[in-house]
Amino acid sequence: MRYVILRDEREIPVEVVPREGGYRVTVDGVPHEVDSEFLLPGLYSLLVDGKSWEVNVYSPEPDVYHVHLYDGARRVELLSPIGLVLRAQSTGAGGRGSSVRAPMPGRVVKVLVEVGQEVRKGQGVIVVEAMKMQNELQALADGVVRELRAREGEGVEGGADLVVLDPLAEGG
Amino acid sequence: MIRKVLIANRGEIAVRIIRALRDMGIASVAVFSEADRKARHVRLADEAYPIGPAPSSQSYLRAEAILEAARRSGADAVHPGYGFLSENADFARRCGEAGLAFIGPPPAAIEAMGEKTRARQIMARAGVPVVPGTLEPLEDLPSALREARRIGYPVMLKAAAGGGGKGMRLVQSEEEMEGAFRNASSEALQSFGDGSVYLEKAVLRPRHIEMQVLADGKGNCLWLGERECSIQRRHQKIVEEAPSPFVTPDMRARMGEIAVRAARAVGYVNAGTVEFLVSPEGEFYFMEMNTRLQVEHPVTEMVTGLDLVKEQIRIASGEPLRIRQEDLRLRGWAMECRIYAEDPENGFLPCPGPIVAVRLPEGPGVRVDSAVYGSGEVSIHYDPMIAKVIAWGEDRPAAAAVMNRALQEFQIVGIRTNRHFLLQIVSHPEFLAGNLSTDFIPRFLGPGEYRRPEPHPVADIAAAIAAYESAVRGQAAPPAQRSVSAWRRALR
Repeated sequence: MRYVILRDEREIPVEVVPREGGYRVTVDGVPHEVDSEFLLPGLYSLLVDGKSWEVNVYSPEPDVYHVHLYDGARRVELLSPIGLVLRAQSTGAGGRGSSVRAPMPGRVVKVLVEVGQEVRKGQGVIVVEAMKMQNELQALADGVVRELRAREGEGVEGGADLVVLDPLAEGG
Repeated sequence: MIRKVLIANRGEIAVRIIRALRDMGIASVAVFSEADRKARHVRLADEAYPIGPAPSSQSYLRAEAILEAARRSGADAVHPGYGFLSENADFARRCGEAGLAFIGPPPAAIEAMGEKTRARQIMARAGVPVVPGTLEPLEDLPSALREARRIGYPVMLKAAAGGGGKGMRLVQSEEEMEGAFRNASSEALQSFGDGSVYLEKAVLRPRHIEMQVLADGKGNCLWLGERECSIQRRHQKIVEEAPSPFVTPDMRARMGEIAVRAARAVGYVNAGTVEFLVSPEGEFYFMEMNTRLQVEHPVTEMVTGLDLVKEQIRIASGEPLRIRQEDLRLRGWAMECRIYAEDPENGFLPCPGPIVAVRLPEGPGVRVDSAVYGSGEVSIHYDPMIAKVIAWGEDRPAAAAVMNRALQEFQIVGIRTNRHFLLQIVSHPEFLAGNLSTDFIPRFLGPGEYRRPEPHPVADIAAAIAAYESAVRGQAAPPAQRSVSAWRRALR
């Protein structure tokens, strides 16, 4: 079966072919003989070209895999070629502004800007407290505050838009 | 004689205390919030009582609910752990009034050390060296500016009512003072219900070295050697070790004697820690005394052979200390790494979420104090520190090697953790050379220096095999089991 890994704007081809006791996995044109043993859900013993690896694989969302090796975890975005096409169709829309998002669930401690205010890239716009820690979130680009979607004292979901910005100056 | 102890805490420290109690044949009583019904400490304890909703203000910080659980269980003592009510003198007092032994210092000692400015005054009078700074909380911004000018920049703003890095700001120059003062006060108010802050001269490139003390209330007060806790991020320790590579036997003895003097000055009883700020020239200054068990107490246990929690319980039972100062022997080297659910690439933001698998490290020299298991959730309501890895070796390089191995074996799947970041620290040449300071992380592993793991062909291969197996063989799943089906769903 063929897959594609998305990394650094590149599409890296991957092919998995089952064989006796494992697979031949070709990544970016390089073939690897893999002896694969499934141990527990997510836990594999892999012998890759003679080297031994104990690997934890976890998929928190479709097409995303967290792969834990001894020296750390990698995030691998791996799609079937059909998934790649579907994804291309579903994205592409979306406004030109940018917004500051809650990185995780928490509570708004302070809103530092007002609607209509100009902000600079890197400027703190809102303070969110989560797990007893206050975090000042910053604008990712220059802009004008179009909308405040959170109020002080309010709880917010992870990923929620908190401050919506319009791009600054011409064409915005 | 203590027969049943209620642990007014959660997480790894509750588990740690329950284990000591079991070793001593003492019954344990856990308390838990609604978010913690499935937590490890609840399952390990002999008894467990609910104390309220998930937010700690409505559960683990509610003295009333905890005292009620103690009454219902028939406990005769309370261990507060660290954090929560551990340094709350009023809670300690109410335990006493309810006929419960509080496994910690007397309320007056907590009070004396708890208010940091007052503690500095007491220490200065007792002949304990303190960092130049204000001995009173600052009234307002103008007084902060005036005092900072008098002491000289850089200065450090600190919350008068607390510690743990909350309400703390380094101020390099006058321009930064206004913002820093406002943020420190507001964070102090949020964290401790008291927004007052004070300031100290900032010692540049300092080390954080602390001394463990043990006092039995019968006139015996010992020091048990230092811990170096210079590796910090956001003013919170993440790697600690004992002994310190910087401390000589002579310095240790001087520091120990001063720590004992500090403890005696407030009538201290039980286990406590005197924290020192140490300049690169070896001058040391009293910062604060933590009137409780410390997170990093295991490294002292590993090199002294003592069990500090058992010592605490014996002291609270009224027993005299069994060891004398001259019996203290430090053996080998110990390090601790704190595993946090957080993102080192994104300002160490906490990353709560579901845990789907845990592989614990094992083997010679490895100890893990944790409350994680192969399921469950890291809640947004509590501290994101979820486990401690402690490594022991016959000397510092050996301990670092054991730590490296243990961190490699330790895998927590499902959430983001600082494991790889810790590995970068304990294998860094400056760390291995013992060149530690509290700005180690911004200096050597700051933004731009720290890199997430490089892509690895084996990771790509494993992801592809997992995708393939779930697509092709997913139907032939193992017998239905909640965790397995959750996995299958996740791997779809």
